[in-house]
Amino acid sequence: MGVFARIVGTLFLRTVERAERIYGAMLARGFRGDVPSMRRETFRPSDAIFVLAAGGFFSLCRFVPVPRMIGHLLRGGAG
Amino acid sequence: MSHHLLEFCDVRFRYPDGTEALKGVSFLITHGESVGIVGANGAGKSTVLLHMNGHLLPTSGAVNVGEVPLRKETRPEIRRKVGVVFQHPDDQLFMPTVFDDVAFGPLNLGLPPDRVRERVHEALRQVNALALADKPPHHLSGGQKSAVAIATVIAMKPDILVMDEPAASLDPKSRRSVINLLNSFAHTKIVASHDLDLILDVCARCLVIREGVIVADGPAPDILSDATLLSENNLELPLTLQGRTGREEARR
Repeated sequence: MGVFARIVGTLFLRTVERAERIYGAMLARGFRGDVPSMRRETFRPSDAIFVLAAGGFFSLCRFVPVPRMIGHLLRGGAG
Repeated sequence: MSHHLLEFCDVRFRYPDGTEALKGVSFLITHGESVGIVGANGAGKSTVLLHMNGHLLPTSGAVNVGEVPLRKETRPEIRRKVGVVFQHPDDQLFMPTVFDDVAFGPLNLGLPPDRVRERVHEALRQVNALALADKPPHHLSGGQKSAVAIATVIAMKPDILVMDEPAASLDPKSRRSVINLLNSFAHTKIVASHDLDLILDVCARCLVIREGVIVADGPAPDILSDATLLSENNLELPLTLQGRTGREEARR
């Protein structure tokens, strides 16, 4: 048990030191806290469709008892 | 061009565990110089390099890059000027693909995507690693990792290029291409290595560091042919300067 604890301890220290070295390398290349991306974040037609579909589904659930209808359907109208 | 100066003034550094790694290091490296730093294991080479971009800050003394003194708040500016390739490529490659990794630096500089793509291609082409662009870095061979690590730094086009053991674990052909790459780099370069032939090929000037102080500073061919000085520092004559007889002596 003692040996196991020491192995885990050493592994932890090695991990921390490695992480520090990687962080140092990131800083050396101008890292300032956020990972930059090449992709431009723009609002595309597919995003509009997603918003409309999701919004539509949630408002449907708000005004129509959708889960109960599904239950009815599954239990063949018995419930 | 004074903005590519690199100056150490009586730099002392003590690690948190109490080891005094640098005991007053002073030198001035001017624009366009190529300087080798050699010394035994644990002499302080890597510690000196880690001061060049503010990875470590001197306990006392000063480091100046151009007109900018190294302080906590000037580090981002200094890191734009000084590109450091660290010793272990495994500690430097952290993005999902080689392309992303090389693009990391230029994107942090705020370049537009087209320019970033250009820089990445140019840097990877310079190290003969263009074919690896889509691979994950942790699946590369040791030599390929070294090449990519160099590309990640040259993609940022630093004014001063600093390398710690750039050719360790490279096969002779890759080592030669690193040497050619270094020779094609026109700006200031600083290389720490035990590969004295590489220093001889790349550097005009050479510093010898022992137990945290500079013990010799001069033209590389002079220093690297001084057998006594080298053996005092756990080094040997570069292989190209060892005759058959010299090699026999070195063995004894």
